[in-house]
Amino acid sequence: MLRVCAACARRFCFSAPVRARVSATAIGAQDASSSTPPTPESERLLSELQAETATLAADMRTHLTPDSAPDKLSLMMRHHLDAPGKLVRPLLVLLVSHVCNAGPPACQRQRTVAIVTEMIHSASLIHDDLIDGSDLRRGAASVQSRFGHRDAVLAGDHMIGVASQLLAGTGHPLVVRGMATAISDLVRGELDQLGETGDLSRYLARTYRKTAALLAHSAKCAAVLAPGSSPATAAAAFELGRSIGMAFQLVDDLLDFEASDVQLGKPAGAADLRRGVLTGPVLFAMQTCPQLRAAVARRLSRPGDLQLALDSVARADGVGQTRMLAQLHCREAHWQLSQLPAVPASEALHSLIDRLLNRQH
Amino acid sequence: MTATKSSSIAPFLFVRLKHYYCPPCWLTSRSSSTLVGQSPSSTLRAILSEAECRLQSPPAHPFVRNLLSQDLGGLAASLRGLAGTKHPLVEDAKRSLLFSAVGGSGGLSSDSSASSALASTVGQTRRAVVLLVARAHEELLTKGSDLHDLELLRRRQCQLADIADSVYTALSIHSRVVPPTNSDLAKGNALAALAGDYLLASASLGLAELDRPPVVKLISEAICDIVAGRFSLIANAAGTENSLSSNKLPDLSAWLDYVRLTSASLLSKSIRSALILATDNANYNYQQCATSSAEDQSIEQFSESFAILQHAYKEKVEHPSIAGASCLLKRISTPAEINDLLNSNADQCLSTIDSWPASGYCTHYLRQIVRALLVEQRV
Repeated sequence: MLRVCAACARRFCFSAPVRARVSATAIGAQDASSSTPPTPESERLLSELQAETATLAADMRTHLTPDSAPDKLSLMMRHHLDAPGKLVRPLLVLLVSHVCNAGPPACQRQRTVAIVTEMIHSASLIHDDLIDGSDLRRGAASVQSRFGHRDAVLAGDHMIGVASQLLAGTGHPLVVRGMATAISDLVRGELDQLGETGDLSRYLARTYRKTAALLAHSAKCAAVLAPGSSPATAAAAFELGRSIGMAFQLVDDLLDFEASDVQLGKPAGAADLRRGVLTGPVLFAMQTCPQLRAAVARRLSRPGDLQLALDSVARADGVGQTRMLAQLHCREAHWQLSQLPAVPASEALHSLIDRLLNRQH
Repeated sequence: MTATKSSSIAPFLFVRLKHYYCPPCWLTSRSSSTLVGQSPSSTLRAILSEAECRLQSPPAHPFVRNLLSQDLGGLAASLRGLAGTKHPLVEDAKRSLLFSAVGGSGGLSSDSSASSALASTVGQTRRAVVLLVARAHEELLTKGSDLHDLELLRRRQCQLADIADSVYTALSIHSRVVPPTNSDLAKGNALAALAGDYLLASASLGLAELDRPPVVKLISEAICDIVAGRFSLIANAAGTENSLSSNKLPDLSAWLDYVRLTSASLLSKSIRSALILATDNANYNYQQCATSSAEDQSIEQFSESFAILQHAYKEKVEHPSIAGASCLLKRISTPAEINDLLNSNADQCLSTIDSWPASGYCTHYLRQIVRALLVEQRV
């Protein structure tokens, strides 16, 4: 039976409602290999690009801490950038650039897109920590907990301002428009959380906006800047980024139920649920557990509601269903990647997609 | 009417310095005495309304109204939930368009019409100045363009003015974040962050849709300048009463730096952006944003002087949101210093306006606005 995804409007084949026994397969993804063993060349390229992301991070620090910036602002930038992130987003942009360039490394403008992507992500983290009241980020004090709410908000604004300047420097209106759309989607995703309804399709739409949109648009921008780019290549890169982003966030949400504070570098142990944010594992469990739906409706306000929620998620295998959905998106990502030029970087990207799916933190 | 024809009636009345005016224009600009005794805000607002009427520009579309749209129902409901708390966002909401569209809701809109008029004058002034300067240069920059192209250009310049207003409002909302000493304030801070982010994102998208990367660069630079200004001693001095003791007051140069970063930068870059929109893809020096041309410098000087006048006006007329913080300029300068400051900057504005292409009503209204700001705050 063909259905239309409520989150991304793609058609797919469903044999049952989204439950533990889901057997959905994305159209076109049936033959995609999702277990490509990494070759030595692709491993070498991956290592080189990971080293290059460190260079991009240093460039980002230089852009964000000019001599003209107030001392306190520079101090905040250094504090946030000193805590190393995974730099997954710039790495993905570099890989997509390699693929879309049909081999040659990323040009300067593509590297700029990679830097801007990480900058936008960093700005969103600073504001998210303020909105969520998180005191920890990447194993260190969050910007808002160390410097205060007001300065944290302004720090995020500074990052967006610098990112916009860099985007304008590419001189490509489509790139500027794409990343501006990503910023808009990011904010809309955060706003969507205010009207939490416990609806699975809305959760997927929010996941797209909060995480996948940035990767989708940055991958598309990398494709647009490639020599000889075509609309088909740009569209495939967009879908590739979107699928990777969806899988990445779904895995992030299920790890929230499984991992500890140390592994994640941020508060865990169903932290999302404790804050009243409903993610994949809980939403899947709500489909089969009326008691959980009632507890969520009263915002887990009664004693024992939180434990009820955790037990319901375990009984319904909400984590397993979320992981299965993440696997679907990974298969889609592999298939979209197969539509792009087959170069050594493609193998590295296939390998990275699998690592993102199977990561433990 | 020409000066010659008018001069047969009363020659000494129609000449001001080296400029000649027709009687209607002279009558409206002849003396500051006509402005004395009138309500300050109503005079400036009357001039702004008249200017907008002459510009025939589309009505301003404050992005802030979208905050209350059904699409963002969660944010609107959460903002209404702040009613009764002590968060500065609630006070700002009473003085801004943020809640004027909502109407009476939890007491948020009490007495909002007068105070919202004061707060919106600043944005209205900036919009009017940007459009008037752009229109003054229009004939020079758009030689040979047909009417359809001119209408499209004017619409895009209005969009740019709306974007600049959105940027300023967003960063003003962000500056209302306070130390979260209780859960209400923490919630208010989160909503202030979200609301400001939404406006900034809308502005970014609007800028991108103009399809002119140099314009994006200029407005982005203004964002960074405003943020830098918010970290200044002036911004921190206005934060709490304790900072306003005499030994911690900043000096005049710090106040001028603050005004330059938080007001003048956005104004000058908005004007330069409007002029960039007026250029086609042919070679014109406004495309080169990296180096300042003589025209850019005159715009920078005008913007800095105008921002000083406007900021002093805003401090004097705006209701204080924090006790003791009203009119910081009066606390750090003597009346004589303030008058000198205002007069010198007004003269700078007027001489810069005189150096621009003479365009009848555009430069006339610009002079009117400058004189209105000057007269209404002489001490």
